[in-house]
Amino acid sequence: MVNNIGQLYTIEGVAAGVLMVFTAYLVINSTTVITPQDIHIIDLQLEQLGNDALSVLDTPNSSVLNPDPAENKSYLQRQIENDGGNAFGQNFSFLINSKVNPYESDNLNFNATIYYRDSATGQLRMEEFYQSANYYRENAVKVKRWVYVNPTGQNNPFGLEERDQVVLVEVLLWRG
Amino acid sequence: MPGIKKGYHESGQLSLDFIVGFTIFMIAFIFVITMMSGLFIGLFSRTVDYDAVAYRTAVILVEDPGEPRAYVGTSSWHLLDLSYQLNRDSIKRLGLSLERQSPGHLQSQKVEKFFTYAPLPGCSGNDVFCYPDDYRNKLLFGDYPYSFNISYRILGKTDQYSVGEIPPPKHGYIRRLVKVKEPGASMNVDLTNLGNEYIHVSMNFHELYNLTNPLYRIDPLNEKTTIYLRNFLIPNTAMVKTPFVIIFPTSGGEPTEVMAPANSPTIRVYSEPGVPCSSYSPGCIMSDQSYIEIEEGFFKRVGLDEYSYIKINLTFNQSIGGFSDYVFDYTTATIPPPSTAVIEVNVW
Repeated sequence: MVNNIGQLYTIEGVAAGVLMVFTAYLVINSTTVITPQDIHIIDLQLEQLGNDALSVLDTPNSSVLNPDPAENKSYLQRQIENDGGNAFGQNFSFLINSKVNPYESDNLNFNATIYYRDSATGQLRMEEFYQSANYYRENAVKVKRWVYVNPTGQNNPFGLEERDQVVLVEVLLWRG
Repeated sequence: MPGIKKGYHESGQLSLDFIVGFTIFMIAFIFVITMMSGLFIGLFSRTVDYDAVAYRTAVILVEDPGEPRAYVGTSSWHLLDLSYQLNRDSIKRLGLSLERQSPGHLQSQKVEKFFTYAPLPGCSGNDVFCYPDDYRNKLLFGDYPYSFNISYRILGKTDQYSVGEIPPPKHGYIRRLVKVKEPGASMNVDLTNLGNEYIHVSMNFHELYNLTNPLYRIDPLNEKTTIYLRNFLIPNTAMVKTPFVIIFPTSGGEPTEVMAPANSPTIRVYSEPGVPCSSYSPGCIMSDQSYIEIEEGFFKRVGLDEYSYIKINLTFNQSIGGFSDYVFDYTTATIPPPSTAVIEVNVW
């Protein structure tokens, strides 16, 4: 015998199903799902800081129009051309460890290396620029910057050729 | 049993329709549970979200000039008077960099303005930002009302700027290092002590603004400009006339003269540091400590732009000036070297 008693269950099931799917669709669409990437975020913070510090050190004090040529060179350029890595190391360390609170400082270490091309042999050469601590197996990031240099005169700590060139400064950076 | 009739409702059997309905319900239920599982990942990684927001906030601050930004005919956001609601509403983004092409190079006036704030409701009607609403709407963005602390210090100094509350132990964080353009180009005028009783300091704005890198640009329209007067050899030399600006129209024609107004922004003459000349009659005595300061915004007040050519006239009671103009350009004027600063952004 056919009656309408059982049909009510089917309608309820279909209605409940449609409602649930629609609600879930709405909720998921209005919420951002973020997957955990803690390690990458911390890497990114260090990498950003290292890049910022290299950029700051490679910014000259004045434009090329300034009659004083010393002012037209960036600090990083002067260190590579004349003074070697010690002053750079102290300055870089000061920059990356400085905080807004002048009485606090961070605890970051780094190794800096310079890569340049020897035109006589065509070989790529590397020189240690500065090493603030020994690197073992800490979680580290690497930042790089191409620096324009034009070494002239006697003070040439890395023995670069006296010509316009760019050298690669590579800094390995870690916390601890 | 006699007298009792077994009806349809009392049978122990399930109806076929119920089973179909229940099956559809269960399939939908399983489907929904599967969809929901991904939703909870975000709830367990809130600090990651905070770090991401801190990073994004720092990028906007350090690498973006904000909106509205300065280009010909439009003022940058930091020059708008926030006393007017219309101006406050017109600020879309609070970036501190000089220009789009100069990420990591900040403008110190923008920094000053950024850290000028008051809590609601006292901020409305004043030239300050409203904490925290303006910062949330124009810098942090997003539907979630993030709390934040943004702080800033020029390295080598102890003065700190900060906006926001003290961060709790768990929060998103990023630190950035930047260069900050120090405002105020200046020039020394060495007087010849012969020739005319006046001198002209000429400025070709088109030449000044032609420099590509804004970090080293002389920017008289937006920054104060100082001219130091040196080498007064004739005793009791005094300035006897209010300084005035001779404006040469860019389209040619006769130049016009504009007197420096009494109220700021104007051209102020200092007989010695911190002592402004109050009157030019009978004269304001000059010395080798004297200088004139063209205040920030004066040139915009008199309607100049990046293409203007002007001369500033300074008149004395003695023949002290040479016969040619003193040219204010990149070979004669200097700008202070940029400072290095650190910015920390905390979000929770």
